[in-house]
Amino acid sequence: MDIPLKHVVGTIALIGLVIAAGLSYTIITSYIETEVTKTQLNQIAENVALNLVEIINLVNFAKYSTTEAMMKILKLPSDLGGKAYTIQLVNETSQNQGYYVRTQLVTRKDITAKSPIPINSTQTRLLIITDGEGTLQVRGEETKIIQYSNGTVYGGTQDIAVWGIKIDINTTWAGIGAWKSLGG
Amino acid sequence: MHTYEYLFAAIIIVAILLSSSTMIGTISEPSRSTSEKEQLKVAAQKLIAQILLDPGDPSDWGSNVDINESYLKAFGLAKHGETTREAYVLDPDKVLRLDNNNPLPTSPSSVINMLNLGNDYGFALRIYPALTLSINLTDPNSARYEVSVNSEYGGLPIVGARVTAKLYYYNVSTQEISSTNLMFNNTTYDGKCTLSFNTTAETKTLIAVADYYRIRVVKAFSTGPNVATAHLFGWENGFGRPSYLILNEPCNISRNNTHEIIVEKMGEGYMIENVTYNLTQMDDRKFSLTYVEPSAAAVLAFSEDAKLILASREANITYSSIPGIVDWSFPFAYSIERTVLIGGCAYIVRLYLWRMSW
Repeated sequence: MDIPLKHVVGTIALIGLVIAAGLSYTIITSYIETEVTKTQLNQIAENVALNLVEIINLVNFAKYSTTEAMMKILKLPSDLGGKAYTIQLVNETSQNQGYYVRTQLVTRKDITAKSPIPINSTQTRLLIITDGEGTLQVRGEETKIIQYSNGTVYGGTQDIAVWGIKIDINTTWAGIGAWKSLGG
Repeated sequence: MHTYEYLFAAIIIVAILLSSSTMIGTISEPSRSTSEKEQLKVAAQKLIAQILLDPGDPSDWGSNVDINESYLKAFGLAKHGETTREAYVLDPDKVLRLDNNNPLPTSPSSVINMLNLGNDYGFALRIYPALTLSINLTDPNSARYEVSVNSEYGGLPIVGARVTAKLYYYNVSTQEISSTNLMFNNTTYDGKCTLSFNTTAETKTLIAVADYYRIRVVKAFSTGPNVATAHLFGWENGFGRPSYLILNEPCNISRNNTHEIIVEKMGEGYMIENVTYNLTQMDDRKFSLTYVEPSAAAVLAFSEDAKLILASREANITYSSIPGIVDWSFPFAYSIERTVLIGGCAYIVRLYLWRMSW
């Protein structure tokens, strides 16, 4: 059976077009999905920054230093469309970017969002903990502690908390961590 | 199959691709737009919490004339107290530093930098009394004033607001600042009331306080040909620093003393009294005061050439990252409002926040 060349070319062109259309569709939906994920990350970053500012102000209203922290547990999604994400406090005051909350997907570091914390100096009475690890006791709670590590928490962590503590009359520390049971 | 049929099939495939892509974008757009507005709302809440609850760093940056914006490390307008602090109580000295006419102004660019907003956000701040207190001198010969009290929302008249006032004037015979008795009246259905003081003094200042269910607003209203304005720095003297009176134009103050006008709640009404403190001239416009009463609403002085000098702590501030803004309709801005106390008076603080780019 003879098949005219124009049918071969036409059929191949149509198949190519279907594949190209499918790829284009995937790229477009992927772009939109990325944008939606970025918006969600942005919302989370803004929410963390707001709660951090509120806890800092609450701690600053206390006129005494203490060994026990104040904290607020945040209600955040455990993942974004099945993808894990991290929340990190970043200090870029040396680059005049100030402190900010950065949220990003674990698997795709390019999908990231940030929300500035309205402090742009390390010379203030406030120190936001972006490095180092530690635990903090909270007043009235013997069985649980706040655990912080490099100012970073995973989105899937249960009971993410922003915390603040008055180290001395002129110094306040603040950060983000996980509210955990002792020994667990 | 003909060539045009292949072309037709290709056109249909491309059309399906374009329409489905457009639909996906369109479907996700409303939720994204809502989400972006929500982000702006949270960002505005974060910003207003910082501005109204944090005293800034150094915490006495408003009253300390040695601190200008280059020494400021953190921005906040809250009143700092060594022993106690109240939420949403602002420091009048810090608020007045947002005024362009202040001799030690704080520029929007440095505030944007301190608030870490970068080039991403623009903001505007309006600070105005919770009630609009308007004063008109209706009869200069008998010092008769018409006082009207209106709501900030649509200018509705406030009925039954208690207005207490006292007139301060330059007494030519004694060459001193004298005052009349305290006068009271309640606003009627149109939000107005009149007060007569029976003095013929030409240059005078009316200190009026309106109270409506504990919402207090104080206004200093000067009339006469020789009225000059000044700025007061230094709320309290606990750190051993002097307070200052800085004039807008050079002049010598008569007898080197000032009258600090104190407005305080007393029983069901208010007292308006004055206390005299000495001044020391630092330069042709700057005077140091021995003390400034914490509840001083205004400071009055007379210059040697019989000019009335008034430094009022009343705030009516428009502050924006876009200079010279006159219209308050920002189409893409989110606005948030809080009621605060400044010097015991109720004020509204409204923050407008917008993104410079998405």
